[in-house]
Amino acid sequence: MASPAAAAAAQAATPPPAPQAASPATEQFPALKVTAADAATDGVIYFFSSEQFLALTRLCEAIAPAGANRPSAVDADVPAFLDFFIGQSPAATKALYRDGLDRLVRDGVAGASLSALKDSWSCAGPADAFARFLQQAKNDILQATMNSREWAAAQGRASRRDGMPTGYFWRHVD
Amino acid sequence: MVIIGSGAGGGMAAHTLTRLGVKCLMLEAGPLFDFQKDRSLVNLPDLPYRGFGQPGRFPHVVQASELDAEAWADEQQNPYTYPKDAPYYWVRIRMVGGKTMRWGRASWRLSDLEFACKDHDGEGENWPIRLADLAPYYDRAEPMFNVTGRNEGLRQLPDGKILVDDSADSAPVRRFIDSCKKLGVPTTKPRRATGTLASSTNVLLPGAIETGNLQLVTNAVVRDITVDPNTGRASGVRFVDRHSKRDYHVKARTVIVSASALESCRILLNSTSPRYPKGLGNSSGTLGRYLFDQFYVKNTVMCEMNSPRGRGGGYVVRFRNVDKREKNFLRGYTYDFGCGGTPPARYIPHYGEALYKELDRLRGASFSMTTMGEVLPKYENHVRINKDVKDAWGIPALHIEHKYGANEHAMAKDAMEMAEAMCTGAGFTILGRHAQMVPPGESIHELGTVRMGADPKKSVLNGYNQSHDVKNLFVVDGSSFPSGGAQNPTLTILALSMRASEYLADQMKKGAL
Repeated sequence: MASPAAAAAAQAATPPPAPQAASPATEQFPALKVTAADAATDGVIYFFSSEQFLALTRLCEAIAPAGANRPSAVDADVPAFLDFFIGQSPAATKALYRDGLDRLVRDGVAGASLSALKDSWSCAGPADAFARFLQQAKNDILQATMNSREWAAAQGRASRRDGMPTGYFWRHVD
Repeated sequence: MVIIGSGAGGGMAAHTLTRLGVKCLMLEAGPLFDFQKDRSLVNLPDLPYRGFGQPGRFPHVVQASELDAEAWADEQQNPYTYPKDAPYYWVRIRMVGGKTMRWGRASWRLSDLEFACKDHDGEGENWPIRLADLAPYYDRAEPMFNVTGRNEGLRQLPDGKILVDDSADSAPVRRFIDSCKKLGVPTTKPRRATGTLASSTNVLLPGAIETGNLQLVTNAVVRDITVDPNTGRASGVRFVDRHSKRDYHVKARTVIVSASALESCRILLNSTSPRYPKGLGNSSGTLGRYLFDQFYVKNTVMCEMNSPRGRGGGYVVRFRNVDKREKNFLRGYTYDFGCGGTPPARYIPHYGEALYKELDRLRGASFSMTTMGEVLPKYENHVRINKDVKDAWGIPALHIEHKYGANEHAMAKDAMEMAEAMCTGAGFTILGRHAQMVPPGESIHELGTVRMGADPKKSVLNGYNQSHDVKNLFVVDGSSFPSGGAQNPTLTILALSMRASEYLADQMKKGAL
């Protein structure tokens, strides 16, 4: 049996063969199509009470109804998304939504209770907290609807182009 | 040579010095981000927060989107403080290339209205240099970054060595320019570096590394600069590895600090020793003082264009206090303007079907203007070390105090009124107007705190970005500005860094350093 030193010397004398390029068939990793969780199923409602959630659903119907080539906010699952999103938001946003929805539970989601949405824009925003809630909810509901895959699919059907909006995502680099 | 920071200032220093044969070690606090490997195309609806981003993750970085959240420095790891009634939005990027990885690329020269501002109106301090000193460096920086635009021959906005943009303006842009002309207000094309990859990482660092004279160390968070107690000169830099938290000390013949305006100041303030008890190079007591930036009023007017509609945009050149003195404020402001988008839903006082109908009618009809105003540097606006707060590596954090004053408020109001006049004159309908400045810091144009000046009693650096007190210490980022106009500062940082680096190499050759 050769000594370890001799074995090492022999190894050094015959360098290992250069790595062979693998054939493309074995080199290629299959690209698997995956599905986002909220495309596969519904998120669990955890933040709003059932009364608040119902009022939010009515508000979504009023602010962003369905149209030709356009899903409604409810079609786009916006109430459930906002339950998740507002539930993770800073305390002030949570309170704004909860108090605003409580008032809608009390007063109903009728034209009269939404009148503040017809006030013209000011930089400072309305002084009244309920009016502020309505303004923010309008923007959130509209953006969440337009950023949904249901919206993208409807736009795609309407225009011959793929309606899916895309963007470059920056991965975490440690 | 040790260079702290790899953004516009540090990148240009490395680019310049390595070509002159100087061996450089660059310390970058963040990782190397590879635009090809580390970004991927995704469907926006597949993002967990539908593009809103994780709530509360970046309370002070309004620029952070769900797509690029990882680009911005983590606010929990990198804390800072401010007075309760004066929030400061400190926007940071920690990766190779620094903020040039995400900049807007607007590339204007400063003029002698800024360099000699005190001569012009008696306020503040002059720079120790003039446009003529910096022009040869602007001349070289602009072609490196492929700056495009149109030279107008205006003394408040010096011409550059730029690629000429003689593209035709759309009909609404022409109507707007005519309206400005009637008010005596000059306009021009946007002037900006070409390509989203016009960053330090692509333009400056590859060539520097190719010379064999640059070593780039990533994840190196600098604690402070050490000093030789006998000579009083900088002797090296102490840094800590971002992951392992292992401490290192690297010796340096010369130290160039370019860690971004406020980080550079923080490093100097944290570099205390018996010889420099108030921070390195702070015999004047002005280190940390005269913090300013450029105030922004986003969408100071939002309009509906009349027909025919069109796209495109441009820049309104400073017109206030150029040839005559205005009534209630000093200095001036500029605007970016653009058109062809759809006004945000908040401007439309409807909901439901009526809202969608209005959005359809207004599709492509927006014309908006954003004010960028000069901020007066004031002694009371400052940063200091807050010993009670430390970052994730145990380095004392900054306390930042910056409030806008009467001059800025008066200017913002005037800018809103003038914007309204320009748009009304073009036949546009105003949907909304306001004069609410974004919080200090949000424009990401923070400047000052390590300012240069002719008088060592009133400034930290001389006209070559060299410390008055510590001859082998240079600070080459925006912290060195004694005033800043309303022009985006990056091009001036590049020119200053190039000039300081050539001076430094020359001094080394002469044996003065």
